[in-house]
Amino acid sequence: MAVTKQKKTLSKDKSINIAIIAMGGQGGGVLSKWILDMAEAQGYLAQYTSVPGVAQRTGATIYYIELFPAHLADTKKQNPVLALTPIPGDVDIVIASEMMEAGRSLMRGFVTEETTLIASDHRDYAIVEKQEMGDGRRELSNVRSLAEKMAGTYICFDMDTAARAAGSVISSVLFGALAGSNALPFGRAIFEKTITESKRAVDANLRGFALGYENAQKGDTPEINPESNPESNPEINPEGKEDEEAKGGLVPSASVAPLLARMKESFPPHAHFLITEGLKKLVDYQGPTYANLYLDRLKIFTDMDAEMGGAKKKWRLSKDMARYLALAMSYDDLIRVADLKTRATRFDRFRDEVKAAPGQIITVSEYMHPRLQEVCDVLPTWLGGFLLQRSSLNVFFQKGRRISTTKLGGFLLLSFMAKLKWLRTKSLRYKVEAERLSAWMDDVKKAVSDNYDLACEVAGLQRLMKGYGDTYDRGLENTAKIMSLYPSFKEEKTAASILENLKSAALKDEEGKELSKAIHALNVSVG
Amino acid sequence: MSADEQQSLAETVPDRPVGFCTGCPERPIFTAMKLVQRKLGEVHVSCDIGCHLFSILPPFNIGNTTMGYGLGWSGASAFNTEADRRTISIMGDGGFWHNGLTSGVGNAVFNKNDNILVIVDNGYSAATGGQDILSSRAFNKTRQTNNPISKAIKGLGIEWQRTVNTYDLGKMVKTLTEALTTPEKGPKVILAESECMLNRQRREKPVRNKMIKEGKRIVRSRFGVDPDTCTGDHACIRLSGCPSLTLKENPDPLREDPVAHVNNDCVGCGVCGEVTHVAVLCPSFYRADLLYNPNLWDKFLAGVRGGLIGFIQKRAEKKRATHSFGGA
Repeated sequence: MAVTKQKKTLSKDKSINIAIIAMGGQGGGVLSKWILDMAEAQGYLAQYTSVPGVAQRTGATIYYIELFPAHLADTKKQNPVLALTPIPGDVDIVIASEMMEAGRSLMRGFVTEETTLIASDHRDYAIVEKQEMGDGRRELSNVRSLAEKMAGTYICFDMDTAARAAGSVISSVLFGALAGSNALPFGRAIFEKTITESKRAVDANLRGFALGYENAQKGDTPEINPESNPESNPEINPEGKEDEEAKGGLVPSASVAPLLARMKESFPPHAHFLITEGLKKLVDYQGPTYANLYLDRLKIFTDMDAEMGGAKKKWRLSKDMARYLALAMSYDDLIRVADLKTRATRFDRFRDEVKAAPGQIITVSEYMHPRLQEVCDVLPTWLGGFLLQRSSLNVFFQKGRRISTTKLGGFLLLSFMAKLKWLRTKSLRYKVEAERLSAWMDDVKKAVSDNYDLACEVAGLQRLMKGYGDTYDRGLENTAKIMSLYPSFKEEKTAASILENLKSAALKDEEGKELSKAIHALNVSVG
Repeated sequence: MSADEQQSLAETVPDRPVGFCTGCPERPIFTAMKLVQRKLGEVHVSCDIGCHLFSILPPFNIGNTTMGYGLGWSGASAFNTEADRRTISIMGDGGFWHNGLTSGVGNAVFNKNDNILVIVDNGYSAATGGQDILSSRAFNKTRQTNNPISKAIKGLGIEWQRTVNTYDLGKMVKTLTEALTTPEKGPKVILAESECMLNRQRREKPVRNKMIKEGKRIVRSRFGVDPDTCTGDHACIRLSGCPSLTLKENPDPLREDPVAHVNNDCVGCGVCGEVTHVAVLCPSFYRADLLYNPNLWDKFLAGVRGGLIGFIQKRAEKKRATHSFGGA
């Protein structure tokens, strides 16, 4: 969202301190150079400093610029000494090229009520956010509200999207926003002249500049080309959907209509959104009969939920089971991967993702490394089990394979594999998964009558089960570790939060350090 | 700002350390080391000054000591004792010529060191901006380049030396494993070679763009992740840390964790694909080769392939449509 607070222009008779809080490789150097060139042309003595060695290297960094009016130096007949780093409390303009970096500028004390803060409201995730096994992304609403509260002038909008829209880089939009903030005593034309004279990518930079300028001037601008962000709220009113249908929207096919009807008739409306998604996934995964099995299994839990007075808990158990049961029943195997990789919709998506021009020829190679295990997984139980014991077969699965789905050989191979769906319910993996599934469902069932919240947490253990190969095995191992401890704490009042803690610890790192710590702490407290 | 507000910022704004550039050839060396350590256990790693020192930061967290420029191997010389595991030292080509040749390699030969040195040879003094050094491959009018490191260490008496292209992750894993486990005694040097991507892009990108404009046939590669097969475990990120490999909201409303996503900065170095193969990760990565200015044969082939594949896909879509959920 664009936020702007009052605007004031700095005096021409005082020095101006500007700090650019950015990441290496974002073009902070280019932006600094523009500001420097412009100020020098306007009669300032100017200097900029940067931290060497972080260019391109994506770490947080600061570029610092001091502008000193030349006429003051002339009257005093003395050259100023310009500082190398910004001093907290003494920065006139702070330019933050990303939202977390805006937060950093607040932490470092650069933003006061005298400061103009120009910040781009987009996220570029730090490695510590990206490397977690779950969702390590930080929620920055505190940064947004504090920035607005603390800065004298605050200009904030998604400059990354603006830069993309202009086919430019973020530095040009930041430069435009700086001009649009009216903080510097120079007019728009002077800024634009600086870009023109730099002679590099002038047109694109001017387009980016214009977007930055206009958005900074406008104030309460709507978002620029907001990335479509639909259903963030899973409790969308199912009634609304029916209206759409009534308006002549698409009608469900005869094969799935009974499923939807059954859902509407005998499942709590709060869970309809998630159940519909679950049905879609499972019909797509195996077919309507399989999706009906999902409803059979789910029904046990929604009934229990009703008995336990689920309405008071907003039907959490029903919703959680609707989600996790669908995921557990649609484990990834070779058949599924082959199916997803060969779809027309996927071909459209990768063209879009790699920014291929319309009609441009592209060849796509898939990086796959099926092991003997994955091959045996899709074979009938007896055959898969037999071959899995033949470790000599492993020699055929040492290397990863590159299969091109845009060439006939690769495409035909994968689309043949995608057709093996009928084998699935008789396969080795299906049997193993069915056993796991029933053990997990039993644990949830047993927990419900004693402790509703705990049952929901047990249901959520499915979140640990993801990926393929080692990743999947680690999920199994972590779940087993947690469940071996489960009897020792399930009677506790705080059992639900204990389990929740263990689960989130298991998602922190792959070496299991956080989980070990949590388990240790638990053993100490439970004894 | 109140103490509470300070505290809340400290929680939501973690450090953002520097890391290897997009496509950096040094990244796969440490990916390989991480994978080898998983199998053989933790190894003492003595680091050096240079971009490769970013290995000490997330997501690799590899490296125990750093003494100074070119001092990678001498920093571990005290570990030349009877032990059940060898140490690995790192040195850049710049550090090697700065003093590592004598203080590291010479010292190791003289003292019959049984440990391992990895020399990261990216063709430049890259961390300081890509200046030429003795072993640079580039032609230089005023300097004598092209003096290979392999020859220099051979001259000093290094018998066990292997040269590995850093992007060949499988070979790097094999070579490191061999160096750590071979019964052969004596100093071991692995030359890890690949040109600094920053310098390479600076040189090649303008040429490529020019050739595309001139109508020459050019293939440009880049990578992508299929969000529907990615389950959001981020193992690929932990083994790479590439800036262009980031997170995106999971398009599946049932799944809660964000998926991996390759953004448009990707230079197609191929490391994420290699990682998928060597570490046996999920089959979500794909390489897309974008063809500019195709010739007639390209167009013919693409027409045939597209036609047949499109036909089969349409049939499959038709079948899927029999189970359509309509507007639900």
